[in-house]
Amino acid sequence: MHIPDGFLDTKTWVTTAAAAGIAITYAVRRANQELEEKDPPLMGVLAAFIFAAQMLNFPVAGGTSGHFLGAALAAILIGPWRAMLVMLSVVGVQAFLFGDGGISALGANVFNMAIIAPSVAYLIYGVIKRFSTPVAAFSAGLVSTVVTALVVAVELYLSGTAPLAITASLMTGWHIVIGAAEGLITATTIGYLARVRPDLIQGNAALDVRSIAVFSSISIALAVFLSPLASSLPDGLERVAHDLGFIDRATGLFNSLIPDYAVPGLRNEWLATGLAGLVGVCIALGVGFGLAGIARRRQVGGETG
Amino acid sequence: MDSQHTHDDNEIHFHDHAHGAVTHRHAHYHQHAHEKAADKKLQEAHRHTHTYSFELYAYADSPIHRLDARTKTIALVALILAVVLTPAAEVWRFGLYFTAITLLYMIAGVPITFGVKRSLIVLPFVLFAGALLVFMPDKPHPETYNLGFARYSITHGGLYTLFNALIKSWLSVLTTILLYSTTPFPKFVKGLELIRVPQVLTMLFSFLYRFMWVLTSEVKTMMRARDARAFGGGRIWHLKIIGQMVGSLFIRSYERAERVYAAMSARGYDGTIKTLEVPAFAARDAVFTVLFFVTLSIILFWRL
Amino acid sequence: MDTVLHTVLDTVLHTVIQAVGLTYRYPDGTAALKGIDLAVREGERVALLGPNGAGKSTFLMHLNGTLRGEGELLLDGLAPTKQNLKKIRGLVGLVFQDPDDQLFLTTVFDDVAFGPINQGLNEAEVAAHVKDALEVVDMLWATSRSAHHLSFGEKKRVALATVLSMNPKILVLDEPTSNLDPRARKRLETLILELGHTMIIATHNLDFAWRTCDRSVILSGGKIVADAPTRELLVDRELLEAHGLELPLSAELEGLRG
Repeated sequence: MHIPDGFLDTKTWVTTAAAAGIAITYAVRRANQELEEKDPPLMGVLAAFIFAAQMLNFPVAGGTSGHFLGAALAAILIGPWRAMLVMLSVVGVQAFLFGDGGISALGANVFNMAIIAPSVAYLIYGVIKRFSTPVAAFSAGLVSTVVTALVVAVELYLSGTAPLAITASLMTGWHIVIGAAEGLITATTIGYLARVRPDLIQGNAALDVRSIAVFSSISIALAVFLSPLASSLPDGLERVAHDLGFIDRATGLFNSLIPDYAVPGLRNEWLATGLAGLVGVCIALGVGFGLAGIARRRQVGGETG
Repeated sequence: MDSQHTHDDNEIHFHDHAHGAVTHRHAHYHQHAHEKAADKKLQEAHRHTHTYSFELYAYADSPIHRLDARTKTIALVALILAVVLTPAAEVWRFGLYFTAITLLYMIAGVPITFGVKRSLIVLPFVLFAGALLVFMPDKPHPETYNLGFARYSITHGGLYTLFNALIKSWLSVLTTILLYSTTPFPKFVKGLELIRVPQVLTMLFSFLYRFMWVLTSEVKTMMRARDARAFGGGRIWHLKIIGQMVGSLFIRSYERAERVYAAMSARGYDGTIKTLEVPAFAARDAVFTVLFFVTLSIILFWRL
Repeated sequence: MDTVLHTVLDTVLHTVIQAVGLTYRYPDGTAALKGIDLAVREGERVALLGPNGAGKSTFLMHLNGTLRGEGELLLDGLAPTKQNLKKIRGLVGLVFQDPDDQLFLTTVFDDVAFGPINQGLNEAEVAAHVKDALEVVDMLWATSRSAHHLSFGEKKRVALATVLSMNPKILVLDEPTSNLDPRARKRLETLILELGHTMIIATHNLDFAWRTCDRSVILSGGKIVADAPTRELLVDRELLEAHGLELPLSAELEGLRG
């Protein structure tokens, strides 16, 4: 998933670099606030661990093999801020010492693998862990991998390097498989540690309000960013649905709410799609938190997740 | 093998000697008796074990090696950015960039063949991704070449995009190879510290560099052990095994980190790493920077 | 023994390590040390023997204040309280079993300089301390190398240098000869015999103990079960076997000769 130099156009690599810079600055500040004396050697060794773990390959199909990313695992084990810094160091070393990922594209690669991936993973894990820790870890691994791949596809599209529909479908397809493997490895690791050294899993701390705010903003920005997908991918789905005949029934209700996947009255297509995506994410988050809240009330008197 | 005994034997001095085509520079103390001492001791002192493949030339000596880490990093990153900003249509400019890079390699004493060989690592990915890009439907230069058998047409624009990606990623990797071949990683991190990168990050890089090898060899051992015992079993089972390997690797890493922390506080660590020598900019840094950026501007902006 | 006697002994014989009734429990409650009494005089080299799990490493970590138990422990007259911690760390140099835990900076110079810098010395003093320490362990040539470039035996010597550069009075070594090949082990032995520090050496290598330490102490089940001159202790076959140890080869050979 490392993007080499020459694939992104100027506006894309500059803006993602700026976004990454801002996010890392914030992560450094949060990490410094919570910094304990033993954190520097700990984070360094864990960065080496992630780097080494990325060497682990597993066969996927035919002769191809996939590799482990580790962002989800890092976020669950040491919390999102330190995971961002650890992933930053791994991605940086890979770019400068191993030619894995470009230098102008370093901002984008950091944004994708060191900001988006751990954030999404941490958020998903935080929401689902109330039900089941292994499912939460698995989902965190799977979803963060797929979302990161989608972000890469959109970045390539925005740069005019690759057509969106083809790239997005290919990346999604491939990374659903890789993501499932990542999720399985993450879940097994967390399960193993939960049995042997549960004290080492720091991501189990409850989400505080400030973190929720930050991650919600990240999700919203992400949804807006990914919204071009909404206009191109469903074309394929729509075609299938139309052929199968159930589209008329489905769109009836949906169209009454949000006509043809755009907010009525807004002329600018990007803005409209973006807002629609935003609404979608808010609904999704609301449902997630709502379910979690219901589950928590149900668990009154029982053990905590 | 040369040796220079022009100074007092009571100080650390540098000893140059040749290792193939590369001059290496090491800190040494010489005892007068060293000529008479067993050859074994001398050989032992000059033995190199370069564990990291990227460090082969990092400890050599050349005018480029002697530049401050910050100078080199800023210059070479600027070079990469210039390459990336150059429109792909102006192919001749890339020839100039390549010439400039080759010249720098020569001054640094690093064989360009070494750089080219290592830069080929990036090619498979770029070619694979590039295969996609060639089918890009609309671009500048919308001439289309239709391949009779293919459903998709390869457009002129697609080839342009592919060339753009290939030349820029290749030149970029060639440049990063030059950077790590002329700057030992510890000096690089020291340079980062000096430009006020937060200590939490610089310490992170230092420890990562220090323990990268230890942990990758542990993973290699684990993979060897796994391969020795893995026969049959489904894919899911395989992934679960990897999960447990990762889990035990994590625990070992965590416990090692705790021991390192204990070792640090045993020697007085109190939260911040204090450092001694402050590398200073010398005249050669200024000269190099000026020459470099003037040349770079010419290559970037010169209109034919 | 009471405090008055201790003070007298301390003054007269210059005891640098003094433990009376030292006990320690792990966080989960298991008792690791069950009342250790030990007095070590300046310049002595004491071997700390015992089966695994007896509490050797735990005891060693008390000697530089990393762990704090109950009972009395004085290091050159200082108790390991928070105020004394910095001084004690300059006083007692602890060398870990795995040198990779102790060499964590990017060059040998940095690692050996780490201690003196933390002690507040200036640049010239630090450079001098580093040079002297590396000279003693014969690793000066590696000054600007990175730790991961060195062999295991070389790393062990640098690890010792990282502690020597702080000019400690007491050296505490945890399994110094483990995993060393015979040549490296011999080299380390010679080095230890040349150093004049007070030493406590935890080791499984009884021949090594026989050759380097005049006094040996057996730690078993969290308690000291024997404390005698090495040459007496390491020929007592019954005592050794009762605590999971064997007669060292050196003793057997000397037995044959004598």
